[in-house]
Amino acid sequence: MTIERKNEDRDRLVRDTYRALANERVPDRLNDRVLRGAAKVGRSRYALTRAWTRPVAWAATIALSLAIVLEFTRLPQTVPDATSAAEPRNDVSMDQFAPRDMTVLRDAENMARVQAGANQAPIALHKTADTVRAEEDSPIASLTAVSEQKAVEPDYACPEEARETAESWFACIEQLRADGPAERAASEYEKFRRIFPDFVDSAADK
Amino acid sequence: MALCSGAALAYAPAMEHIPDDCALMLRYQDGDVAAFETLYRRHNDPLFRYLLRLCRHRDAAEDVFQDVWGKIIKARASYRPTAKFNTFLYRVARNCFIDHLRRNKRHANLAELDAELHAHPGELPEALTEHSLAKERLSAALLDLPDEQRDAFLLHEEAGLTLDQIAQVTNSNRETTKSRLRYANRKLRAAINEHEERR
Repeated sequence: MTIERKNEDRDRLVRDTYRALANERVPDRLNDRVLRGAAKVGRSRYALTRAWTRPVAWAATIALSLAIVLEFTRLPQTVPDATSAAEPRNDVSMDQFAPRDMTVLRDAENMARVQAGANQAPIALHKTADTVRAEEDSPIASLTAVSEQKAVEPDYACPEEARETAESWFACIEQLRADGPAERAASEYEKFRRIFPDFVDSAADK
Repeated sequence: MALCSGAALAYAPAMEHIPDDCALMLRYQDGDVAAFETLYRRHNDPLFRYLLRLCRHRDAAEDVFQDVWGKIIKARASYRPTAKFNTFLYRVARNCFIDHLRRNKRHANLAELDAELHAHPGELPEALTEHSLAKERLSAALLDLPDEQRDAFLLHEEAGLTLDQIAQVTNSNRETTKSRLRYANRKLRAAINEHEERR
């Protein structure tokens, strides 16, 4: 037997002897005193406060999370669809200071195109755009007719880029007058005048 | 440092597992007095024996014992399960004992304890068996040990602390603790075997 093994056995002997020796127990009166003190302090206001603070904190966290989730789920409904995008036309027509620029109408067209799909023409918004123009300049009856016509056949002789500003659109019409058929130029000029009734041709003035 | 493993289970419903000390302490923190009682019943006797042998006087041991649990109860609000509860408890106990020593000098009075701990009422020395004699010798040798060695031995035997935990409680390093424990065991072994060796 090695020395180490012998020492281990002797350590065990020490441990066993100590276990046999150490059998003192805490007196009951001392146990009672400590436990009574612990109970008295344990049921204090602080402990009771702590007991309900945690559930309340959990409830608040869950409620907040639910509120955030609900808010996010409601968000897509606020994005305007094709029909609701057409609704603001009343506001546009009522607003005397609305920009008469084509960019506003183009934005609406783009939005409608996104809503309707990439390959589908934004009919509803063309109608809207034309209706807006018509309401500004013409009697209601002719307006409706024009807008319906435009909705069915939205053809312009001038390209979209040329129609962005009054000057470029007018220049395009001048070009049509010079090159193309006179009816087409006249038709385009009519459309131009509906949008820009106050446009003054500086060249003509001169 | 051995961390409390069962802290996360503190609020789990009591199933088959035995709640960890730290979990019980956290439950007591929340006002669960029954959890404290379980914790107390787990540690009261070993702690009392540890203090009894450190203080060498029953009354003093009882005072310190009560003081220790008073501090544990008081510290419940700030208690964080960063270390094993045992380590925390015996560290508090040791500090309370040191405070007790500073307060009064009872520690020097060994005769009273010796008489108390070695008393075998109604038992004549001739009637003592060999095992009883071994216990007597061990008890005497334990009291004769240097304080640090006795402390290390008691923390190992009563509290069941590992070398690292004893080192943590006694503010020493592992090697020092190891040698203290080795010396203590050697002396106690020698005391038990003294009679046999003489024969």
